Amino acid sequence: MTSVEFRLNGAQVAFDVAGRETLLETLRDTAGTTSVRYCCGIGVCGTCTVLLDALPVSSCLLLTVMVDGRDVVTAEGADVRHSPVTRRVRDAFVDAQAYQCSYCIPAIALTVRGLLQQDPEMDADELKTALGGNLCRCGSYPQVLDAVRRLVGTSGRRGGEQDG
Amino acid sequence: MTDDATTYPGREPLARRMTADAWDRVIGRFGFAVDRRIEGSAHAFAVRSSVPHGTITAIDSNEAKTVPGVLAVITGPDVRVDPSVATTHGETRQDQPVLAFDKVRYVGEPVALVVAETRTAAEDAAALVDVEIAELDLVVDHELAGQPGAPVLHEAWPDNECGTWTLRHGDAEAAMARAEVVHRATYRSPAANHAPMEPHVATAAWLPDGRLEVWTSTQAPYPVRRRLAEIFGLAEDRVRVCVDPLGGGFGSKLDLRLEALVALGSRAVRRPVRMELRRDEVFVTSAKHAATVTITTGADRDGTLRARIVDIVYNGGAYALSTPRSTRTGMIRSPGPYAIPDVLCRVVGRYTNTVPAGPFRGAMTGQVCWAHESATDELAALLGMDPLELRMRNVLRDGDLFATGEAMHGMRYRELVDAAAKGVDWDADAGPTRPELARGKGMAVVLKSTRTPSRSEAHIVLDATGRVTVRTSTVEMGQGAHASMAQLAAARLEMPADDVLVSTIDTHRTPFDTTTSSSRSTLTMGTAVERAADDLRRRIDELATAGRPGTAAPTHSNGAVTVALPEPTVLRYEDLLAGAGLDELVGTGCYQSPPGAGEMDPETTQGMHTVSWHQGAVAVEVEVDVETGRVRVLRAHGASFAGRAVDERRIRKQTEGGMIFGLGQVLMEEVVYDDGQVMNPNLSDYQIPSILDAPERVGSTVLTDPDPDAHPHGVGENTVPPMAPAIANAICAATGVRIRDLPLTPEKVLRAIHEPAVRTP
Ligand code: FES
Ligand code: FES
Repeated sequence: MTSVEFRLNGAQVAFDVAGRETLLETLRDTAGTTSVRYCCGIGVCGTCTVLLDALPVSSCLLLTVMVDGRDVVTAEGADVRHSPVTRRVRDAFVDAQAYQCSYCIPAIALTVRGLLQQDPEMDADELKTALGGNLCRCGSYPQVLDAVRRLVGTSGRRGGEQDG
Repeated sequence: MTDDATTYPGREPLARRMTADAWDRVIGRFGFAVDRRIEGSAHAFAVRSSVPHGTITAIDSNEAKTVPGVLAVITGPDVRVDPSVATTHGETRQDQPVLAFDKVRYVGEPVALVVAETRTAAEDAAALVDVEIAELDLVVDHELAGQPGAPVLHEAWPDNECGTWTLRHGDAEAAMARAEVVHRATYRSPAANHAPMEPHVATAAWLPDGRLEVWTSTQAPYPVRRRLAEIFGLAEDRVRVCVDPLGGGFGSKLDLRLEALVALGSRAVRRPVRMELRRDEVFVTSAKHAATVTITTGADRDGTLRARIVDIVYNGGAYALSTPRSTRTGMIRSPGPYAIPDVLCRVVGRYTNTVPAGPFRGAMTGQVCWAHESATDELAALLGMDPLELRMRNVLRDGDLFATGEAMHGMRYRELVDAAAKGVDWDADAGPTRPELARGKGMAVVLKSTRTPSRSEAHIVLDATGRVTVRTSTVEMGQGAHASMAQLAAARLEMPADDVLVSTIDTHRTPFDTTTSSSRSTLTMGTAVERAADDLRRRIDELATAGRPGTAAPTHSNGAVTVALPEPTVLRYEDLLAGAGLDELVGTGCYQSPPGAGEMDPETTQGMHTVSWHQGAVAVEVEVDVETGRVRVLRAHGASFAGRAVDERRIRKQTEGGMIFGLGQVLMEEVVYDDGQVMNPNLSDYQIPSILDAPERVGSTVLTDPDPDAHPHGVGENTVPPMAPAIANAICAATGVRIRDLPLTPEKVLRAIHEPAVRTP
């Protein structure tokens, strides 16, 4: 067992984990952040996405010991009061009713949020390409794209608008 | 919607508010079956057969038991000698053991179960259980499984027979002999995996007095209860099944899956036991039937269909599950939605050494729709006719007889075909494109039916605080059934749907329902919910007018009634209950299919097959890269008849999502077997559509029935089966090649382009 400390949704947390425990397992089984979900276990579906130091990553591919000292944000860690982008992403997905079973959706919304926080000027096509790694078996892609377009509009790279 | 945390409704243990669901679903607070944790649970992991067909000669679990944290190892032979557990079980045939004890019949079949303190320990120990199996000859292909001398899976079924039916309507052989034009071809489709994003999961706990409680990711709470009662020799009321919402089902969560395994494990260690499948285990837990369909069609030169003969072989896999009955359902749908005077259909299911197959969204229909809709286009080519015109000429209209001998009503196919065609600008020429890219359009129609007979019951509870809750055993799995139930109840009570709660499933609290399958819930449970709401409303009216004979029926609004007393007086529901000294008021409602519905003549399959036919059409435009064989679906438009529509946006999501789901089985999905081993049990080698595979333009048309008394129709599956033939027809329109073997991979497309033999005449 190794003790690991990191920031989870803004709070400092510490866990004793086995060397081979994945961040996905720690978050789901110990930390109780169940928005982070298992599906493929091999980095292709994106349902286990978290923001690691603000970048979207697959938590099933990370060992928990690797995130020692780092910053982890999950979908339910959205503090909308301090992050307009988070609120806008959430509202866009709700307004577009961009979900069916919704198993995949928090990770998709979190990915969009992470990308927009990195580059507020990303356009709908760029976001769509970036979502190639987030699978949705229910086929909610048209509604996800609708949500994305509600966020960034339909034209090419936007000018100026700063957020987040 | 507001951000105020105090309005956050997650405090409701058994119920949820509809609009807030959307919020929960997006931020990840919505709870799924896989999120259910029962305190003190141990964890189970199955030891699975690595041999497709063989006799178990020895199982050594000594080393596994030394792994720290291991609590028990239960083997098939242990269960075999336990008189309190049924040796075999099954929905239609008692042919499946909970754990294999004498023979193994597919790779992945559970042979033993390890229970440990942690999932990791159970998984580690399972790898150390040594199972010795003497291998037997195996058969994977369903056509080979029916040949003399084929390896036999079950002694009781020496020719691997698993469902044999015939449909006879008129004299198809004679009519075929007279037909001016005859077309005949064989179409194949492979096994596929439902791949719900959420894996299967279950937890069981035995109470000290011998009752069994199970939390499970099932689409069939009551059937699971019955099966557990049968297996463990319990009265059904001693078994409690609870179901949280599912992260997708698509048919893979219908039969008994993990429930008996966790119950065995829990009994052995006297603790709750939980089991959650790894993705590779999901691949060996459920499958779509592979199938071979030969279809012969006779027509007049003007395109009038005269006769159709369909021969179907379904691959049932190693155990029967529902195959002996569902083969009949597939057969009934196999002639397609056409008025054909003479029809003969024959079907047989075969046992093979593959993962047991069950319903797959559009159950048993994808395989036959692939055949009849490809055949329709091939026939149109033979006749030199536009395939759209051939469909328009022959699709079922009101009053036409279907192959079951039923006169059809409410047929909307001509409008559906028209809407699908318009959705892709059928007559417009493809825009300019690069020379290696060929574009074409294709179309397909489908006829489905809902499971009959069936029954759904609903309770609607008004509690002392004035809150209204629908208690239903319909499983929410992404189709939006719970939102629909809230809406239907709210409409009858004239209150906002957001104020109606829908409970999660608990067979001790939520009443009977057949299953959540075959797109039946909106019709059957929806009707039960409306009746329960009417009943509750009547009871509220009784309270409001008690002791005042002759008072007009009150009006309802927002959880209150207005009564003329003689002055109009507003009484809130909770005050009415308090005034009458009641803690709650319950309305009940039931839907039961009419007597005789679903009973067919056993020799000819004539009779009333279903209480509701589902009608759909799909049109697509594809672009084929003739240098690489790659197919891109540029546009897809689905049209569905919804009857009395409950919520148009949800119908569109099902219609459009169904096409994207279906696209996977057309272009990429196949469970690949080599020597009985599944070669691609992961989402890297078995790919499903991503957002980049989805058509650039996806559209839908929802046809409705404006009659307020019309039935709602199921729409969850209507656009899945037609995707394959629509795309194959479009590829043929683009390139002239006809492929009759799914999936339509680039290799196959390229081979077909370079092999003129398979070109259409
Ligand atoms: S579970 Fe991590 S990417 Fe699929
Ligand atoms: S909404 Fe069901 S997997 Fe995406």
